[in-house]
Amino acid sequence: MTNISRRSFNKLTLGATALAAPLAAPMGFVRNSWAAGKEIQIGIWGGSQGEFVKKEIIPAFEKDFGCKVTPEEGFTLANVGKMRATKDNPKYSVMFIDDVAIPICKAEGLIEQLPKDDMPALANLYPRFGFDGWGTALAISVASMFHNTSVTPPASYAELWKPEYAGKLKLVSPKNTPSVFFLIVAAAVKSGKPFAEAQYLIDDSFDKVAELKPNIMNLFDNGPQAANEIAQGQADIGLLELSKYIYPYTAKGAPVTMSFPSEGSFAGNNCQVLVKGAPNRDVAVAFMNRMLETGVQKAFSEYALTAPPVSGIEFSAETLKYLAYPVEEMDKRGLFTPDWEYINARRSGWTEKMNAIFAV
Amino acid sequence: MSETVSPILRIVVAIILLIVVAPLVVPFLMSISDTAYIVFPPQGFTLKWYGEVLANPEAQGSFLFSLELAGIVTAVSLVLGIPCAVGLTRFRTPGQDAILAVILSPLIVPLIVTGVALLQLFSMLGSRATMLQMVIGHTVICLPYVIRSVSASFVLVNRNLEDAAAILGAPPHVVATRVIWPQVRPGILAGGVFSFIVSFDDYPISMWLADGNHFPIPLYLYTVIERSFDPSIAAIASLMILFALLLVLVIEKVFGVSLARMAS
Repeated sequence: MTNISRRSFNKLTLGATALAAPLAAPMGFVRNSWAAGKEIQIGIWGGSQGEFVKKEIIPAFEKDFGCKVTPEEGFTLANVGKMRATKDNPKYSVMFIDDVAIPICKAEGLIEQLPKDDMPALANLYPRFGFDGWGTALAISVASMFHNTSVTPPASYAELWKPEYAGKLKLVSPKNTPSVFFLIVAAAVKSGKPFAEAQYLIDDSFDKVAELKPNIMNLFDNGPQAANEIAQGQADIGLLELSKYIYPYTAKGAPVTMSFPSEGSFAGNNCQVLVKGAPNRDVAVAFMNRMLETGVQKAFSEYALTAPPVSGIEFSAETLKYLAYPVEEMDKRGLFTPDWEYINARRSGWTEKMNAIFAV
Repeated sequence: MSETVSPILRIVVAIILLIVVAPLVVPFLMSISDTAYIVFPPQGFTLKWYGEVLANPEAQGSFLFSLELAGIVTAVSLVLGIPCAVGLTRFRTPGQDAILAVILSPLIVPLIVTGVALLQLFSMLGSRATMLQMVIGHTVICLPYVIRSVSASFVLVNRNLEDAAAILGAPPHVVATRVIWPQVRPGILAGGVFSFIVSFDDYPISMWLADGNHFPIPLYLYTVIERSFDPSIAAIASLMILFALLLVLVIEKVFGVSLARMAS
């Protein structure tokens, strides 16, 4: 179990900020005076990531730049909805969304490409998390199976279809992004092909999805709640969820953890995008740059137990137990990022089919 | 005159009460568990989760903001809703049914749609006044409850009593305060209570209109559940149940109107 406690970490961070502030403030005040008095509104996530952004990153940024950042906690679909509703007169400057939504936002003209020259922190960004300049990842979770520690998880996803798992599985709701990962798993189990090929075979795999129904106890749409229920033994195994929702419970000593079947795992990329026509765009760009700075990324990753998208960060061995980092480790674990443009075009139809199968 | 209640009826009522109340006891039991995550039945005993919640500035801020918002929305809904209900029940106006349908439409349209439509409207108007937006948004969904409730009470007013008072020389303001008010008071109070509760509990409208500085308690609860599903969630739920009970007691004691009478 990790020794990382959020409360003690907060104290450390606050302490570090307090120590650094007197040194940084005078220089920062002069250097960033252009931002003084300006205000931006940003859409962030809820959960522990949102908590850290609100309590640690924003106050320090506001102090350094003399500006005001108003965060609004939400989730990807709601944040995209807010950008759509305010497209003609943008209210938000920066939005946090999952990588799944970046192609949609790009196609609808909701976001703009990042100004590389104004974002020096992009230098350390792994190219795969740059999305052709339309946003950057901020945190990478691993999406996989999670289970009660009293249970031995199967080595392969294919085993979950066996009768011995009847009524022992919790399945992620079709409205959550990881449900796409499940569809890819079903296609991979049916076809015997790797995820990269199986994602294009989902349309032919709903019979395999339906075959799993007797083994599903219920569906869940809240990761932390599902982790809690698995820890209590209400079900043996949950599929699939992001590590950022599961590992905080593992770290607290709850009897729940993740496992990584032989077929591979998925990358859940939490990202930031620059809203097209953003109010106070210069402050927005500075904030996005701040989010990628090494010191911020290290603290953010340790708090939320997610991997950073930038190179050159040192973590303790204890923390690294929960992260797929650096990028070589991500490759070693076979973290797969789906073809979201292909999937987004078909997802609503798949959701309807899932709803029909599981009658939700 | 005393009435005897059959033992079978007593048992049936007791069972129904148990079914209704038992789920409310569960969060309380989970909130006293001395574990870092929620378990049922509880393990150990602690009240530290209540301490954490009550001392948390975020929770305090959201709770107070929700109280403030619900209070303002209730006042605005009553100010707008009572004259509207009077007009709809006492006067025949052209398009009366259409007006009523428009006023009640927020009850039919999914709130999440109403919320995003309001956000779009405020964006088009260039409004950045979050508090004003939230008051307007909540009033839109609370107004139907006030108008329905107040209209029903005005329909039931005995007009003969008003006529009798007027014939006996009572001026209009005396008729209003001594004759009409006692008859419509339960309906107005019920409308106010519904309005307060609908606003206090609202998630879908607030989800679109709130920001970090105006963050009501239902949104806070959702983010807390996403952060960590520990017994503090159950503690907040227990406190909200307690708050609802206190609200009922205050209404009964201060205003002298029982919920049973309001419901009838």
